[in-house]
Amino acid sequence: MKRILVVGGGPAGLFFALLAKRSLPTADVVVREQNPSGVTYGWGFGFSQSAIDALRPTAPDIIAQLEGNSAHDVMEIVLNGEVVQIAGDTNHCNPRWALLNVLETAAEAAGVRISHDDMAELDEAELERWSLVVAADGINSRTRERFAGAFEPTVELTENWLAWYGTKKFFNPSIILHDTPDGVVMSHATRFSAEMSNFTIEIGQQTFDALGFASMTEAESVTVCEKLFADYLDGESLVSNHSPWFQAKFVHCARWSYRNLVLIGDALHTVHPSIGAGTRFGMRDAVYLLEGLVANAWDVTAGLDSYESRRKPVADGFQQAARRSIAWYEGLPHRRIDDPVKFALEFFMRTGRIRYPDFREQNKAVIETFETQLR
Amino acid sequence: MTHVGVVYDSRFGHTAAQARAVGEGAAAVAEVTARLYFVEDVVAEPERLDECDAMIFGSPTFMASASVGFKAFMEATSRIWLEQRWSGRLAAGFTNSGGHSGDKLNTLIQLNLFAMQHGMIWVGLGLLDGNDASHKSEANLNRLGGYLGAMAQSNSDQGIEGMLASDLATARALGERVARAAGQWHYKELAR
Repeated sequence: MKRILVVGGGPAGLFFALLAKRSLPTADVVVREQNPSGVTYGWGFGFSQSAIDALRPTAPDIIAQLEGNSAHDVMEIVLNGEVVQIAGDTNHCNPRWALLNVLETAAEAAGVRISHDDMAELDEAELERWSLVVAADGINSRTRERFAGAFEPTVELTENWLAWYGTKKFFNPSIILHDTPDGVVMSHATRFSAEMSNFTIEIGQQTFDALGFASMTEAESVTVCEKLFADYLDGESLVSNHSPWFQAKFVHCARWSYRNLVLIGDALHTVHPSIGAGTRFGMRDAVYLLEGLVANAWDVTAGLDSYESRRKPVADGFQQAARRSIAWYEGLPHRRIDDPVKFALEFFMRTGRIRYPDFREQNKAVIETFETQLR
Repeated sequence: MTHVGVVYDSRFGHTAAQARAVGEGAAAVAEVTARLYFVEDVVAEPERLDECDAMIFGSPTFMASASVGFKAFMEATSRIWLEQRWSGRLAAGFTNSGGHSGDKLNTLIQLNLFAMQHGMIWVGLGLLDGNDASHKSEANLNRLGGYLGAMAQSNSDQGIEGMLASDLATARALGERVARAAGQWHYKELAR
């Protein structure tokens, strides 16, 4: 009998456990999660239509529960209160905890055993007690660091500081840029449920220092941020959910597996909050890993090789786009942007994954302004 | 009123940003109106450009040559060429590529010869080399040293944000020069 351990009960880990158990019902599949049941951080996440379409065949029952709950076809680029509406791919949003609940319920129904409050450390000896160990323990993966000699990870911190708040104010997916005497402040906002929107604030180091966030409590930061974005929040408050200021980690690993241990999701590689694809990225890893194992009749060595060779080129392309996006956001505090339409065009061209003619075709009215309002 | 048209193609937005700067330069001149025309739009009806007293052509340089989109536009004007309908009007050109040279000059020559076939009058950039001495820098106008038209260079791993202000200012200078010339140029006199 196959014995499969998944370290980390986030979206990637739970999704892999579910797919593995469904694919190989005789296997013993265990998920080890450090947090108590129902405890998580953060707010909502989004799936693009292409992410929904890519994930649907692997688990149609899961995707059906996530599609269309809070869907957006329009994005708003906001520069000092001036709004430019941009049409694009539909974005399907959900609360992070709802996704975890859907996955956990389905995994347990399939027979996966989930062990919460489980801080057990993985070591070399324990690898031998399992047929396969999948480390999905997130951006701060202890597994990755414990076996750093094998995975050769690089972890870089972004220059900008972020805080992931929620708010009751309704937001279409928005990028808000607002000039203040202490520099530009930015927000990525999106409604992800009937009640709540994400409101992720991003600022440069100088602004972070000038406003003194380093020495503030979460509650004090919230109060200052509410004032900074008062023009956009219409009196609604910002809410913290384990939302300290952080510099995003950018993780990349030279090797993806070691013996029968393999990394997926943020533990292996990250994108950036700004392209909103981290959850999808990790769940796609789970799909590729499962496909590699199934294609090789659950031969772990061959399955892990197949996973890495098929997934890596795609994942590296995503990471390259994420790097460009990170660099673009890091550049914003150092430049002066004064035209909302030029800003919108620049925003959509930043990763090099959208072609200008396609953008133009979908946004005739915006481009009409760009082409004719030249003064 | 003199009307200046900026006819452009763009794949990832860099040449669009350059075209916009050319257009802004033209529109800044008194008694001049200006707008951008995307090649995909005018390829179907190039006669839309009959309203232009001067045309500034812009294409990315791909594989040492104008883009396929811009070439399609050039070929779509063959009926107008046969009638020499644009004869005597002013023309100019600009291009962008990832490489510092990228053989951009070839694209400008293509744009120039296209205008010559139409019997148009070419306006060059009119700026000395901006970065050909130790005391000069890439922050100067015409840092890439083109004379036939405006050149820009954009890093292949960056979007529009990576473009140098000097390249956009050079594009703007070209637009302004063409607009000033067009304000004084009576091409209908030439055709008489």
